[in-house]
Amino acid sequence: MSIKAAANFVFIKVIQVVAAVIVWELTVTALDVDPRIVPAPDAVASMLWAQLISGAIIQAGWITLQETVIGFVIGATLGIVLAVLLSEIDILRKILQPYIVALQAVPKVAVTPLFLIWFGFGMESKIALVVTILFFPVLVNTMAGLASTSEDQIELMRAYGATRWQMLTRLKVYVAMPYVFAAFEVSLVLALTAAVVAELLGSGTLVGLGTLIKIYDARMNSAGMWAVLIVLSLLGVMLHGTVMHASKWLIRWDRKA
Amino acid sequence: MTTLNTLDKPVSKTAAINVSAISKTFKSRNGEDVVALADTDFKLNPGEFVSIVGPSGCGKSTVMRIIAGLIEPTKGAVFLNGAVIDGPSESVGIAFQRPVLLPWLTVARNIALPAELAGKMPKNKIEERVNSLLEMIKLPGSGSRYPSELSGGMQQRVSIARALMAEPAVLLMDEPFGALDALTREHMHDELLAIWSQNRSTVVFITHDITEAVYLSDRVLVMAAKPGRVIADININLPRPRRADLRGDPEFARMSAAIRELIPH
Repeated sequence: MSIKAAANFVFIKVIQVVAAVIVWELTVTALDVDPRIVPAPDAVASMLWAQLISGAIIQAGWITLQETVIGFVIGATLGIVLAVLLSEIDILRKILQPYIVALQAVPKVAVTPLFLIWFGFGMESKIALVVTILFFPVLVNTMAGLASTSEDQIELMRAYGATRWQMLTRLKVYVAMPYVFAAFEVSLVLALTAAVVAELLGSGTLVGLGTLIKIYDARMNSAGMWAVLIVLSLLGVMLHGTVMHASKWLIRWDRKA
Repeated sequence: MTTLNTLDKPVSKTAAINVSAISKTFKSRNGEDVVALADTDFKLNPGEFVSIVGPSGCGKSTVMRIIAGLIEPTKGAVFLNGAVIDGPSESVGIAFQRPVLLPWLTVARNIALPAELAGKMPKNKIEERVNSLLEMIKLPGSGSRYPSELSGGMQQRVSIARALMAEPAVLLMDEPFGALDALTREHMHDELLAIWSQNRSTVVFITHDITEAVYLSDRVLVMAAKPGRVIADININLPRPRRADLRGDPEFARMSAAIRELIPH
């Protein structure tokens, strides 16, 4: 995209957002909507501004971001490591597979109260839910990825005397990469959701974005909740963009797309 | 331990192959025995270029994979310079039907793969060898490109360079040009012969294209199916170096027709 085309694109997007806000403001004013149901954009903006000035929303965002990212790193690592072990060791897969399927079927959110009992009301219980929600999609996708080698590739590696370790590190890891990143793409947004849900269900010592929503909810401050939602969606877009860029760079050899 | 030579000082690293009464029986899905190969017996002299032609299902790929050490014969054995082949060996290079380049490796690292897997060649030697192979396949300076940036013909050349990386005494080729268009294929024939004239390894070339087999080979083995076996062994006494105009030669046409006659429909 040339600079001119990029500028054009940004300009059109800005126009769209401004137009949407104007329509929103006019509708709310014209129909005299109760601000507890749908707040006017200027109310939301001033809430957002106030929260930014005081730093409260940034602190809350930082807490939620940490829960999401730490949980993501732990969950993804566990999922990938277990996927490699299960793919390489047949007997382990045969023993564990039924339990994994059973655990996968449990609605993870339902376990949150247990996590609160086990890990307390701090960040740990939120991270635990993020890890649990992330773990399965990463595990399942990585296993599918590791198994996606073609017969040609296996034969090639065998013909040149590849050891089992080389087969894993020089072939399977690479063919699995697009699968793993596809899982990341889906599950990072899921991770953010999990962090917020965990805060909604059991906020305590630390105030994250989910906790902030609860606080505004208790005060019937809709504009405040909308302001937090805007920050949450920005956070989601940012995380998604980061993973997309990392994935594009790491699997830049994959030109099928 | 073999010594490594760059292409600048070609040596006659080559091998005799003795395929001694091999049979191969597979189990089909419903448990029946399928005889892919029955008492197949032939010898290849060092440095000889031999093609194997035959209809599909005649077991020509099975023969190749047994020589490669990828599968074991049910009966009989294959000897390489008198030693039984019991697994993939560094003295055998393979080029497959499809190039099978690893898309995440550069062209240079794809070519270097056999040496990197074996882990015996020092890094600077690998680089030197890869560069001379790139020259040989007429892709100098393409080492840092990725396979997806290359045409089908270029990719197949890279896969041949990879097969030659460890300076194998034997080069096995399983319909390596099957997927290429006719013009590229004829061009590749001359490339292959030029490469072979430099390194003179023993070549086993599997194909179902009779003119291809005649153009390239010293000898053509004809196989038949059910059960797979060698039914004819024909010397191709056409002078070398061979050039494209040979394809219009009456003797060339006569030989191709004679082999065509031998292949059951």
